[in-house]
Amino acid sequence: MLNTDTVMPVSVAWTIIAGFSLLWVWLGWWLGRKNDTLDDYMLAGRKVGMGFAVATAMATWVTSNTTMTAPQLAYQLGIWGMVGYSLGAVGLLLFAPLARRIRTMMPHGFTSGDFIRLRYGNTAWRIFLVISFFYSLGWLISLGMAGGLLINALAGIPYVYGMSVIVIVCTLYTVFGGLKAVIGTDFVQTILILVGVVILAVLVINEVGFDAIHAQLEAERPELLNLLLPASIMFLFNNLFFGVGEIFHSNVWWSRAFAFAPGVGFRAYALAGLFWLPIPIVAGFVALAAPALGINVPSPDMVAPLVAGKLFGLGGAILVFVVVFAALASSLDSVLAATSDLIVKDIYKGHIRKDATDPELRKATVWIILGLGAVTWVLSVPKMATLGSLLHFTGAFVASTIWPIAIGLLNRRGNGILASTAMVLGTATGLYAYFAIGFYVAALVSAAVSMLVMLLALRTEPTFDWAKLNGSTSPQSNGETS
Amino acid sequence: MLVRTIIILAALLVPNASAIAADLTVADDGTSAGYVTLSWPDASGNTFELKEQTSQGWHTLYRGSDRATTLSGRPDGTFEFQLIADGAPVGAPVTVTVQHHPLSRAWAFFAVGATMFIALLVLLITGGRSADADENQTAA
Repeated sequence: MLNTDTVMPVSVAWTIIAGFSLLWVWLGWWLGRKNDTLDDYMLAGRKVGMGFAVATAMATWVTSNTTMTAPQLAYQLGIWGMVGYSLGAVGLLLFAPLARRIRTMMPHGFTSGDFIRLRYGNTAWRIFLVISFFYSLGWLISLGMAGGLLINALAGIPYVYGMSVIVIVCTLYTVFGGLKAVIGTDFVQTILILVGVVILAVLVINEVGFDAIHAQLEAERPELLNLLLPASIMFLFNNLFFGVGEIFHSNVWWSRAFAFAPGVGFRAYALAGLFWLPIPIVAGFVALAAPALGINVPSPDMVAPLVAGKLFGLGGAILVFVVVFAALASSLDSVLAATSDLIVKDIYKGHIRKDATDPELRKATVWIILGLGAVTWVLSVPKMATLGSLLHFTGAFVASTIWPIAIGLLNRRGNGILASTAMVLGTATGLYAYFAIGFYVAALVSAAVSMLVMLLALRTEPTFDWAKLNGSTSPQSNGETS
Repeated sequence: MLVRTIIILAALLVPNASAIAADLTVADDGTSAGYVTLSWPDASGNTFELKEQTSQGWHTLYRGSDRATTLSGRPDGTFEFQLIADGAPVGAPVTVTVQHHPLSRAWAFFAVGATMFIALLVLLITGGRSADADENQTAA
């Protein structure tokens, strides 16, 4: 057991887990009971309205990474750690115009892979699928790990048990309800997250106070207050581009752009970004109270639940538990659904069963969600990296896709060779920077190298025909693009 | 690419030597950013005390039954730690040297990030307009 100083009785923890598990699974079944077509199941019928659209974009972006990794980064990198984390909102804000364009240009599209295949051809498509699948797996593992860590930090329940429950529950209700269930539960989870985080921050300020927190940090951990802490300065734009890379490339966000009703995407993503912006700062601030409270932090990604538990006893522990459980579930289900879409449409239909019918694809989706859940569970069992380091490792991959996607969506110049080279070189140099310098520069280096390659695209002839994006749903029967 | 990815993922996930050592070890080395996680996962004992050498002698940082602690916000310098288990020292003291990145390097990364951010904004604003114009032209 990592943490031996717990505040929540095991019976209370299991009761909460059981209650929310039943609620999410029931909601998943209830919301998904009218799914008739593949469009209904994978894209919620392509008619999600503004309220649900904002809620799902925000809830999906408030993940274990926000509620547990933002405090970790505040604890490791200080003031700029939490401010830098909040720059993740920029990804949502910048995706707003792209979401509108995606919905207009590809009214029948299903996945981000569709776009890469049509825009850049098969080689770039396959490289993109590897990057995207690897990222999704990293995100799923980090979510499973966060569930186990949270329950262990608060109740002392062994990590594997907590992680297993989170993964199994989210897999079940995603299977039952598809994207409609994911978006519906996201709405409820957003409300829980927002209310919970605000209450927690107010309680911390009232209970400990700014002065005590500042004095203790100044005495014990002065560099956390240093606005010129070098690693934090390097981290600022790294996190911004990590967030942009995650959102620009991931099918989690593309599937929502396809699912939102026409005219909804731009405002939904912009509003979600604005609402999300302060959450990492609030969550991160909680971590800075740990030294003033004399809390031992065995693993930096456990700091938020430890502070809440220590400060407010059982009530605080329950509050954090509910907030993080909701945040985890809202993201895990989204990644499961979007990744299964990508596998079904781009790998199963695109490479394995090119003549599969929609009912067959729907059945395959269920099995792929279950398979992804199982793989996530297996890879989450050995908890051997911190959430922050695991997550930022994937930053080297996703940031390499920013420029190929942005230029590909907005400019007729550029081709598959350049896009493939940008993704491969960006990822390779990002990984080198991760190991040679630190996790806080991997995405930045990857995006910069990818940009340098894609600058060459602007010197090519504008030959791409936008009409190729319109009306396409899947690869031709031979798996190749026309 | 896939093979390389798997190798790197395995390197991240497979426990390293320090994680299975019995003595006090560095589990997460962020010394160029001022933080470090010290752990003693397999040390014998029930109650542990982690001490740090200061100018006034050994100072207790942690006392209890946890098996790790994370220190952060440290300035440049060399720090010495000793683990005590059930009243008896465990192994030799461990020395950790914190050396932050030079500010010049930090600002260089910052400048790259800022430039790239501005370039992305310009692309999204001007690219969106020209793409719309392209499309209208095609439709006409």
